[in-house]
Amino acid sequence: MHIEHVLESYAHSGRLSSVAPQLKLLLAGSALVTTVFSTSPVAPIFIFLAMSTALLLLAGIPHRVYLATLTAPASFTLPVVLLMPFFIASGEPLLTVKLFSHTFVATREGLNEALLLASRVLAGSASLFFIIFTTPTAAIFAAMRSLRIPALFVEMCMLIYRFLFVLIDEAERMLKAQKIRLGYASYRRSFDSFALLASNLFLRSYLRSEHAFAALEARGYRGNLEFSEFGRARLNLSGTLLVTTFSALLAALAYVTRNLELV
Amino acid sequence: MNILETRELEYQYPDGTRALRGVSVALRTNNKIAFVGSNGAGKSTLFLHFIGILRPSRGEVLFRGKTLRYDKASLLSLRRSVGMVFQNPDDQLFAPTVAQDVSFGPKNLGMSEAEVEARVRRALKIAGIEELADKPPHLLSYGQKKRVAIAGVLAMEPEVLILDEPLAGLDPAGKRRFIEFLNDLAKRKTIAVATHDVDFAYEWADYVYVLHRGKVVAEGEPKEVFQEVTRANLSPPRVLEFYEALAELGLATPGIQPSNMFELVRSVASLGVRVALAEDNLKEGEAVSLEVEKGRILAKPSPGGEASSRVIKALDGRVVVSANGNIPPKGKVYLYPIENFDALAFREALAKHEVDFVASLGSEARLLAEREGIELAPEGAALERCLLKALAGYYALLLLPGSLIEETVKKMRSYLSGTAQPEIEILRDGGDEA
Repeated sequence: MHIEHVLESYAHSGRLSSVAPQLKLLLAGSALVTTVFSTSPVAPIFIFLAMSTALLLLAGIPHRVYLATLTAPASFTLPVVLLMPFFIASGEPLLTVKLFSHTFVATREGLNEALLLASRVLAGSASLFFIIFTTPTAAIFAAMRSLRIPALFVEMCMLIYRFLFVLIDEAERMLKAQKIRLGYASYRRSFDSFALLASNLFLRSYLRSEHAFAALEARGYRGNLEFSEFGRARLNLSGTLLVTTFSALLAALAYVTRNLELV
Repeated sequence: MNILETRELEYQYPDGTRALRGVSVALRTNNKIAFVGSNGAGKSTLFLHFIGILRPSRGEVLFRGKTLRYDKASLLSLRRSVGMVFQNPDDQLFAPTVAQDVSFGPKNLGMSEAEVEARVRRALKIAGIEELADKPPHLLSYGQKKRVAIAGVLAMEPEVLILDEPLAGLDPAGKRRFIEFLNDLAKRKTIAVATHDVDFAYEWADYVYVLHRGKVVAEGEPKEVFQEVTRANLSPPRVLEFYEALAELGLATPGIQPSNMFELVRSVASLGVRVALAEDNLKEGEAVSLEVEKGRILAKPSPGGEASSRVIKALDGRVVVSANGNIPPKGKVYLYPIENFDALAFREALAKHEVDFVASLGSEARLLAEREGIELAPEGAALERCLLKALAGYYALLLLPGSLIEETVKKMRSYLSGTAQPEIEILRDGGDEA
């Protein structure tokens, strides 16, 4: 099964799917902002733990699925944590490694910087996963509309989301067609084939967009992509208060711990 | 009055291709109209003119008898009445969920939220995809996407539905299912399809236009038109081709032009010659009586001589006999309305009437059968299949909506007019009526 099937099925059936999407967007959004502006890893680590707990315990996402999803950002984070301390030269030396004729020095500042970056990556990923695992895409667009994000932007997001899959299908078909005729047999051929694929894809997208526009017109399109939002969860006061309070707490935590370093 | 008409329509694409060269056609209300032609014949271009997406280079489109104008209000009123389903559903579906996509048309018609919702629900139901309402389009199969595309147009409740290559890309079962669905729709709407599937157009349409290189080369009822389709780079319908091959060898009654498999079989059967199984030693010229049993015909000596059949030729274990009078059919067709369906009562009816063969008419009946796990004959031409089985001595049962019973009985009788008829019986809540 494709990954988009998995994600979409959790988003539809998870236990948090009935919570108003605006709240979930607000929660993840404030967590992201806090993560970006936090100068100490404490708040991001707290956000990472909170989001993970929410996903595993509240939304009921299986551990294995969540861990598997986390491996992507984690695999990127680990080398950063290991290597980054060596690249910030000024500061208190922690560890010296001699490799051939070079000497590498890991600094305390470097290590702190690496930990901050790693915690941000994890917190940011967890916040995004929180949205992806609990909110169907359609609900995200609905929430964007209700949060008064400009219609043009929301419509573009929607069309991109929808036609992305059409584009991928088309690209996969072309790629297969090229491969069976040995389009990628040599290094040189690969470049030629790929260039051909890309330009072809561009032309086809253009043709497709003309067809899609005709189809929209046939259904009475008059300049805006309007349709009904069916049975979306409504905002309730207690939920809004909860999320607002939590966001404020996150900001406060980031502020209080702004000078706190882990090592 | 014709709802849509074109007069001497010409269209030239910007690259110079002359896609239409003087096309005059008309869509009559409550008809099933097929536009047949090979690739590049101009079908799709013509359809885009029907909904005002393309403007003719010369000639005109008439909507309700008036020349179509291309201002916003005129186009909107045209598109309210004429809905078009595009060949590739991926071009048509754009919203994040199925229900939202279907709501797009009604929203553009400026309807209230409640009305939009009611229409979406109705359209999804007609298209048989209620359970897909919340799915994103990219998780659907091709056939499902096609249905969503149709639902999106049906929700606008147009009087005319035009479909560009509706069968392309569907597997055989999907095709039959789709034809059945189109037949359901055609009961309420005028439907026009563009297709190169000659067999489909031949059996389905009331009226056919054959297009070739931007021109109408033939038009009329399917039987009149399809002799000539080879001129338009198409092959004749298979039923017709098969019939002609038989007729030329003297193996079918000449001059019939069967429009489906049933009529084809009748054209052979009505020759008055049968091959029957013979248990006794029968001699040429001997009078025999014929008996139909499930799937075979038995010839028995008839010493009284009253029987009208005589042995023409005796073979080993079989005889060729003349069968001038019709063999009294032993089989039956039961019509079983799907309203107030009760699984237990149905099983009992199957056993009681020794039913050998079950078919369904219409999507509703098909869905019911699928839900109840009833094994069905292949879709399409259900009525004809049942008649053939009954003539061959089987007991066939046809599941159908009660509203179709009268029409179905009439149709069966007309098929068999002038010949011996199998009994048709309507089963209702255990109580039978002939």
